[in-house]
Amino acid sequence: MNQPIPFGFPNGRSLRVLLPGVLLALAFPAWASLGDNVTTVQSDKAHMKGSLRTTATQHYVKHEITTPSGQVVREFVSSDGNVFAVAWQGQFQPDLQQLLGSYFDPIKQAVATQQRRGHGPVSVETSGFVFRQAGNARNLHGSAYVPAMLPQGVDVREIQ
Amino acid sequence: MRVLASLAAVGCLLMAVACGGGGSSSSTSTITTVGASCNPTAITAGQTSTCTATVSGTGSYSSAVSWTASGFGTITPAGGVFTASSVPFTQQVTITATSTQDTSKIGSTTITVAAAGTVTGVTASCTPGSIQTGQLTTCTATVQGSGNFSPNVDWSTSGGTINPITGIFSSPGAGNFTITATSQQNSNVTGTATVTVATGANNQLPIVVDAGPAGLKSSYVNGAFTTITICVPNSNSCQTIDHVLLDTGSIGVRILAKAAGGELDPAQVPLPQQKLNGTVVAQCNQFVDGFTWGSVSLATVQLTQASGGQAGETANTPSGANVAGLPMQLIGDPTIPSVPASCSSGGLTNESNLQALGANGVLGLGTFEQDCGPGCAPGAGSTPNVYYTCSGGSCSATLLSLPQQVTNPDWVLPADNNGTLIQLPSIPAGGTTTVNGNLYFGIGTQTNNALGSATVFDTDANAYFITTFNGVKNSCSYIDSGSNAFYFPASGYPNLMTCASPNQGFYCPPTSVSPLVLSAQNQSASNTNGSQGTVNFNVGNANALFAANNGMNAAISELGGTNSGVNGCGSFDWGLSFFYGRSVFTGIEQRPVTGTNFVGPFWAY
Repeated sequence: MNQPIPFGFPNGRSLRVLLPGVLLALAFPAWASLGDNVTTVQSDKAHMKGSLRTTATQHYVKHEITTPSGQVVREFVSSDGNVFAVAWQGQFQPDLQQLLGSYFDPIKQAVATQQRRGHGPVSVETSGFVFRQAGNARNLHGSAYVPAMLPQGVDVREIQ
Repeated sequence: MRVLASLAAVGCLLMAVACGGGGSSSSTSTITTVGASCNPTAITAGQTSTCTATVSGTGSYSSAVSWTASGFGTITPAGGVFTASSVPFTQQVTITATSTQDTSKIGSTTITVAAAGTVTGVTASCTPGSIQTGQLTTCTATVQGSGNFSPNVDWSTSGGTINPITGIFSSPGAGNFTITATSQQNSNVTGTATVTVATGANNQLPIVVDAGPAGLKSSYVNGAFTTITICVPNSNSCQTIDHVLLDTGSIGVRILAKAAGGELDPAQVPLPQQKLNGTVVAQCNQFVDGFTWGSVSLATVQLTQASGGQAGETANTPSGANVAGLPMQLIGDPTIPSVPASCSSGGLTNESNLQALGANGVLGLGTFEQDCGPGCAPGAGSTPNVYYTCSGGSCSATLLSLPQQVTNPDWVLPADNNGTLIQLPSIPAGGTTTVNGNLYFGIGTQTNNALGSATVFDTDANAYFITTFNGVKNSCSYIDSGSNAFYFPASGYPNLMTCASPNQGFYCPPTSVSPLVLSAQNQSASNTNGSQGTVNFNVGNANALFAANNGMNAAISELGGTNSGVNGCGSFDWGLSFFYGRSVFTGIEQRPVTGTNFVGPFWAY
């Protein structure tokens, strides 16, 4: 069900950003934070030294970067060019501040004020954002999305 | 008429009249044929073969025969029992039965007498050669010799017990035992092995589930706490730390410094710090819900105390390390620079204080040897923000060799080092204030930590197995004493709604249907040992559970919470709620369980 871009992708502005993906090392596409527009944010070339794979579905484009150490970060971009979700998996905690952007502090605050009464995986749902992280000693996996930005027809279980 | 000669010979003793050999009857009876056979037909020196004759005749003839042999042994003339003598090489012996009534009538057969082998020596060995009381070791023997010798031995021991046939040895008492293998063919030839049996260390570490350490403002629920002793390496400068959280989901000892609200006092226990090229090593340890920052320090960790003639379990220097002491994290060590941005920007809550950590430390006893492993060691593809070297007031990420990393304290023990067993009793529905249980170091190493009938679930390289709930397969599932509930994706199950803030991480099914009676299916990770089993569990309304008993219940088995339910890597986290009423084993990677085919990493219960 994944298909290569640019088929069926309606937004020319985003296309321009995505196409240089073939020139991985030199022309990395912009790496956006949650909630940002891919055309307006600074790229994160310094953080993401890995390989890029870009796939498109009916509802969104997924950028997936895999680092040499096996760390995977994914960014979900809607047709209007906005990052509506991010997801990660690997041994190490990715830079959440970079990934979550303006949502980092509110999410951190929401986690800190939860009555957790101990330790365990994290799950925060507000009207503004949903954040989850689980895992154990050598593997963390998590995701965050903005419900208001979800394209029609997206199953949130695909955000991984 | 045919009569077996051996039977007839006995009859002759009892009933002389019925047998031939005199009187008028001899003139009216004749012998027609004599046959002979021996069993066995092939023997070696010293062995015997019993021969029987078959005599046929007419009238009241005599069935008696006399036996002779052509050589290489002797035969009893009346009984027909041939005993082979020693032969230089294989010989054929002719055995002849001659009718006593008519000596012209004979029968014959042959016996093969083989050259007997000679046993020249026996060597014995027992593996392992050193065991603890209650453990098994298997002894094997090799018999040397020439020719057709017997390879069999009988086993005996100077103490303890050994199966005379299988050579499996055990002893309830300590000591050095001489195990003897004796040649069955020649009892003068023996071989010996020595088995050293040590009294097992006191491997029992008490656990308490309670509201947490003194000074904690928000009571802990479902925290399994232990008390361990931290010492300056190989010294008597020690401090006992209570309320150290027992965590099978992480690796290594982490102790909160006094300066950060914990108990460990550098004035009392001045722990040396880990150094890399002379520079202090620090760590940013990322838990799933936050991080701890502190130095990597070196300690001798007394996990259990000496008791009743048994030594305590003491975790010390890992193999390959060039400085004494177990690498551990001193959380909130005031002597190192503050948290670098690359640590704090990565993670969530800074848990380097008593209120956020909820404990005076963490005792991480998961399936791995070190907390980070090859991903942080020289040769890794990149330098993760885990270990740092600090100088001049700042810290930068570094790689760190395996023996220098924060290490699983069970893995470094001299024995009982292949994993742990956690036993907590069942608790009342709705919860209780305090629960006492035990952790046992080792799996199948002493009488108190046998796997027994537990099902062993092999994990994948990430220590995950598979849990299916409500028809949805969660391939990133795990058992974690350091998580305080069943954390799992609802997957559309009716009435599994989350609580209102601030308990929104937990499930609050309507009280009218609470607790929900649920079940899930566990199975080994893909392409491992294929175990499976169903777990039944209950999830109640967290708000009601927390409020019950005036909020005093610190142990609650019906506590459930939400978790990641994404495709491909959903997680069912079997937290402490799962441990009540069970024996739960955590098997360390690459370490076998003696007497079984199981090798870590695995979970078992």
